[in-house]
Amino acid sequence: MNERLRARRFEAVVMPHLSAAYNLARWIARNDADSADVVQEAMTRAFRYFDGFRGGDPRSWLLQIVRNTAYSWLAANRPAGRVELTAEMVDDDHAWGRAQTDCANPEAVLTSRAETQRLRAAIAQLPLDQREVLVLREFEDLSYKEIAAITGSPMGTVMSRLSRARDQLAAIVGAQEVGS
Amino acid sequence: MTHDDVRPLLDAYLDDELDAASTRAVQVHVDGCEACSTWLEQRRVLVATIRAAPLRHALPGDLERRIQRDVAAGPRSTYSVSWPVALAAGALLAISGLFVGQQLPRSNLGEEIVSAHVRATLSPHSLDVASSDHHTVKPWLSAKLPFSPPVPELTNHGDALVGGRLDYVGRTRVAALVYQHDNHSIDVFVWPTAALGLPRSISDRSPEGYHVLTADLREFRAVFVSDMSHDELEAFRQRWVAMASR
Repeated sequence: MNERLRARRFEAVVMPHLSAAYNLARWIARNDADSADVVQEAMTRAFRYFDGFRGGDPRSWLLQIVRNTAYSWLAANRPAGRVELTAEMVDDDHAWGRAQTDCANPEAVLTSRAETQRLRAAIAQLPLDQREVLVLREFEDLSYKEIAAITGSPMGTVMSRLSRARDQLAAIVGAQEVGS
Repeated sequence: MTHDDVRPLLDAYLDDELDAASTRAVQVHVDGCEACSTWLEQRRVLVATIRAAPLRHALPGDLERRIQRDVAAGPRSTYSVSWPVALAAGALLAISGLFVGQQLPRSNLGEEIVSAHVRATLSPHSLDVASSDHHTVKPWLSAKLPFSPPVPELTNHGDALVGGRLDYVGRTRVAALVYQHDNHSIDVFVWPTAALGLPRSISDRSPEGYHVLTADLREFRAVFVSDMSHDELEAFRQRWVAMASR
């Protein structure tokens, strides 16, 4: 394919999902600088292998690349696997996007600053496998099947990780009895 | 459905992810079960709360501009990280799906893979999981990696699965499946298609005596390394791909 045409097609098809890519990378890597590195590497790969994208959902395709890049990055840069949760990771002054749902959602519940802060910290502290499923479901609105494809897990695993993630957050937000 | 059957399905029910029959069955139970109705309502509120809170990280403007510039500049721009270069020919071939290893000059990734293979053959610890049973090897690798590699169990033609290990090439965590054929050791490096490109194959006349062949499956890429003859490795590669494609 003509190189300029390829770049233009990439801009039209893949670039609109850059925000989603950054959000996922940021929730996985948990700080700004590392996430920027991950996203740059992921977009480099996506651009190089764009010929291998044969239709389907470009957002899922890109998010799969981002996830794999983030995991490679973590393996190379955080071999111990555990990272201290720093203030930056839950900083209220950090740039946050607008709410996921606006007036269109009749069930939208507005959270206080304190509660939002608690939610952020709770999500950041979830085990990575639960955190990524929660992010892909609640922030990207992806189906279980799509999440299974992106994470390379069976659907049953996606279901149980999402349930456990929600259980953890429910305990923090005090929204419900866990168990029963 | 009993209460215990329904409980683990409630999140999927809430997310509209159950099939029609299960959805109906859960609905019937929930209508008559106060504990489940209450749980469901509270869960709905929790999910709505999460989705409504400003929890998405905003894309930093400078990062967006940097990436836009890189894309607009096209493939000739230099990225801050050095990646194995995908040949234009390689990119074209990738479009056609499964392709035979090409006789092309070597790439950095190809060298890395040969190095990884040779190091493994020199080491007494070339296996993280030693088993000829793919029911043992596959779950072990899948648990350690962000993907679930195909692990064909080849037993005819003098082939044997010996085990597997985690490896690291092209700055990517990959699976290495280890096979034996006669006296030769074969490493099959496997990774998801979206994770990493393919190296150029190493020609017959590689001074070290190792051959590198590749395969492009729908969801995975595989690279075969061995000191077997080129034809023998090609025959093995075909058997592996046939078994992996089942």
